Amino acid sequence: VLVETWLPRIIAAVPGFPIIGALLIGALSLLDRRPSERTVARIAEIVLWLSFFGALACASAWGHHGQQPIDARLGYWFKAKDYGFELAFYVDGIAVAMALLVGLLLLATYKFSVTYLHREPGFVRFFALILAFAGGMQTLVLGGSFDLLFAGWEIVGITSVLLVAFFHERTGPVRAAIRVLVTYRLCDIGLLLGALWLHQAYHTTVYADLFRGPGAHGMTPGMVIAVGLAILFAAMGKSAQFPVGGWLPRAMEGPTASSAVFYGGLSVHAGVYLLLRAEPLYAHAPAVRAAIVVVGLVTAAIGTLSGQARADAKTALAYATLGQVGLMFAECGLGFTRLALLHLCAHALLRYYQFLRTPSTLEDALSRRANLGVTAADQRAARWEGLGIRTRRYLYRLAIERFQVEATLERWVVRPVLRLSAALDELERHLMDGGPPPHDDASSIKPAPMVQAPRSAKREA
Amino acid sequence: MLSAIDLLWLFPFAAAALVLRAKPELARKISLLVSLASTLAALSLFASTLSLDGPQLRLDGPSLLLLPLVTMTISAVLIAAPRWELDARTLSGLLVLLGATVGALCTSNVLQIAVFWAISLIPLQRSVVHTADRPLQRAVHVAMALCIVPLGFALGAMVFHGWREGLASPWDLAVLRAAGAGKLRDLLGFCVLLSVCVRMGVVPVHMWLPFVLQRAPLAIAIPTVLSPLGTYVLVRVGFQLFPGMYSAISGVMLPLGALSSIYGALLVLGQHDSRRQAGFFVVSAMGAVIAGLFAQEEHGVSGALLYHAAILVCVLGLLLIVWGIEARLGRSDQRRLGSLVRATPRMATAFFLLSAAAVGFPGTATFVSEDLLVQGVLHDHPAVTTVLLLATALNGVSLIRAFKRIFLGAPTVHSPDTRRLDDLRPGERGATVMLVVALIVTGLIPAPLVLAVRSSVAATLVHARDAD
Repeated sequence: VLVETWLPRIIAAVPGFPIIGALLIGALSLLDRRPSERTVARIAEIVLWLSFFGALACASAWGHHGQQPIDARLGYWFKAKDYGFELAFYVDGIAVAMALLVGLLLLATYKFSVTYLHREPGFVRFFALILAFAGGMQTLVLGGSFDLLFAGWEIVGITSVLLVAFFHERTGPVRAAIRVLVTYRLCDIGLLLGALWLHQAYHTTVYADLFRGPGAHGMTPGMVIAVGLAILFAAMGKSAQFPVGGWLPRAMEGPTASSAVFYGGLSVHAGVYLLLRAEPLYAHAPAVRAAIVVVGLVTAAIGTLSGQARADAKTALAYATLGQVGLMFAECGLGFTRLALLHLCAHALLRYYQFLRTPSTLEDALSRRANLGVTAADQRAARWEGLGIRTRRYLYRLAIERFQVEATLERWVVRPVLRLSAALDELERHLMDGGPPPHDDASSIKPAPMVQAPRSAKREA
Repeated sequence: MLSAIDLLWLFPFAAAALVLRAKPELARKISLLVSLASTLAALSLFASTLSLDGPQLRLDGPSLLLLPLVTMTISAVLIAAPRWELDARTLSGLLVLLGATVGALCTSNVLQIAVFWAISLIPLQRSVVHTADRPLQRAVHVAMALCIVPLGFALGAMVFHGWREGLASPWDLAVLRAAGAGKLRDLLGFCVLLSVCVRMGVVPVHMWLPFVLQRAPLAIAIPTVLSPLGTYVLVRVGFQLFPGMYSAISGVMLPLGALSSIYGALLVLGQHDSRRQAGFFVVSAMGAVIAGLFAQEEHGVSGALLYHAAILVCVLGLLLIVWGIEARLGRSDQRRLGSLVRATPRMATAFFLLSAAAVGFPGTATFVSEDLLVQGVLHDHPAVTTVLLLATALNGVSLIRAFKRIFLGAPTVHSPDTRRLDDLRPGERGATVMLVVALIVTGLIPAPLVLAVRSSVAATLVHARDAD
């Protein structure tokens, strides 16, 4: 009775409370009088605690259920003939661990940000976006279907883009946000396609129905590979994996608290969560597993080397995150899902803390050196001494240029698309107008490039 | 014989004649009153039909869905437009457009549909005829000819054929459907399709649409370009009168829809002018609508109709904001804008919400309709679905990038002086809030809309299958 009647409502409340909080703050700020920091903080605190208690209730229910997955359904969002968007939730070990992690880190973010962003002009906007992110992230982890996961995935994506552009009066954050947006939107196609192909094969994307039945055995081998690769592509985008990971170092333009919770703690691990969740689908597809391992290991190598050549703390941390998430991908591909989940939780907590400490990096380093003296960590470059000078220089150059991944993508993907667009536009104008548009005195203005080198690279150059 | 429902289109025509003689402020008030009354009537009809469960009077699912959309579009333009752009001739044109579109939606007489279809294009022609822009005039005249002549010829020929066959009411849609199209079926079906594709802006007959949106006076250009008559005539007339032929050519029209969608998306990506960008976005979205309609599957057709309605609301809102910026700063080129959010935070918020809705953000009507559309197309055409999704992703990038270019970033030498820039005025705020609320409410509670179009869509598809 509990599972059928109350549990779906309790689970829905976990993402529901933060979303209601975000809407409330949004509605208040649209009124003529801007809500006070105290009001906003109080709303955020209440809904985040309620959401966390909901997550605890889910964990408790899962424990009482013999640690067996709980399939809870709230009905349909909309239905048309034989197709409906079902509001299904799925509580298993992965979902419980992630929901508690999300709740915990967001409460910590709230506590940190109330002081950190005091009197910041974007205080209200920040909390509205963080609450929307909390709702999206909890929808993503507790949702019981790939459809619902996609809804949460989109909310996480758009809040991420808006928080990168938080300091919108500067050009750098805005360009960085556009870069994040481009990667997210293009990689989201993978998740959409995967979900649609599952619909085509099984007429559902509800985990309980997919995993309980034949699993991936109901699909043709080609279909399994296609779904697996589509999901991998989506995971690569959200987790900044090779070759689409160039957005992560740029995303550090947002406030420290949002960088910590998005790119240290939660959002960057959403791709790993997706791989963990979809594991039964690609478990019997060696090609997909091999692709996941290759992507993960290549990213780990690039992230580790590039991170060591960075001069600023936030960017170095971003590359270190890439490296660790790459290892998690490899663990998923090799079938070590429990290890990957453990790695995810531990890494999220550590990296979150490190990101929060970045404003005090210099102070921390000086204090450490005063107490411990010079340690091996301070002499990281010494590790390279085993290599010859030419190899070292070559590796350093590759690392500083981020292995030319972005330049290659820019040259072979972005520029051809933009050139095609410009050529088609020229043709249209010529056919309709017989020449350039009238009063086009802005044509001499050079548009901003879609890809811009991060600050750290500029400084180094 | 006229009935109560005919008052819906008669009043706007009468008011159009009246406002030409009225003083400017009174003319605006009369126009606003008529359009708001029409909106209320359309919403009442929609609500009452939901409770009665089934087609009523001469209205069916598509017309019930599109009626409030049309009246809301005209009302929003009247509320949000800068006052100085609403002279007597423009107000009269808007009311003619309202009457003609509503008239076409509320009748089952094919001749009446053809006449109203033609009348609905006249205000655009009148609005550009006094400009010195020759290419624009030429574009409008060619588009009008391609819209009016093939459809008029096809429907006229159908009625003539019915009359020669001795039918009692050869102009009635149901009678003509029962009688069939005769030997010229393929030619007439092609003519209707050509007119519809031109009107909707489907590649390769789309060029007039972004051009008109960029150059023509927006007061008339917005409701003309965003008119849902193309989709309506395709579903209500094309699919009813030529079901077999349209099923046969679905293999061509689906890839054409996908091509239109990706072509429009590519061009949206490269635009700097917000008005032209909105035009290509409409072209891209109409490609998806065509693909959904020609999937000949219940989800696809229902999704396409809902998607069309949702997209038009989004684009209307975006264009009203672009118009507001242009009225204040005299420019719509994104390279010469930027950092407006400090002076116009509400405008920026509305633009962002409408852009997010336009690209199918969860919780908006576009998400629901896009999901249905894609489910309908996916079943038999996975390649087309992939292209549509790619186009949606590109459109998302372009629209959010436009938001950032217009409203965010550091001021440059090209940026305008925003110190004395007004945020949304009460009229603009009312119109944009109405549109955003409509998108969110119908996105969170989509069941009534889905229900409204489903029954008539199912009936149309059953008829098409019988004809096959």
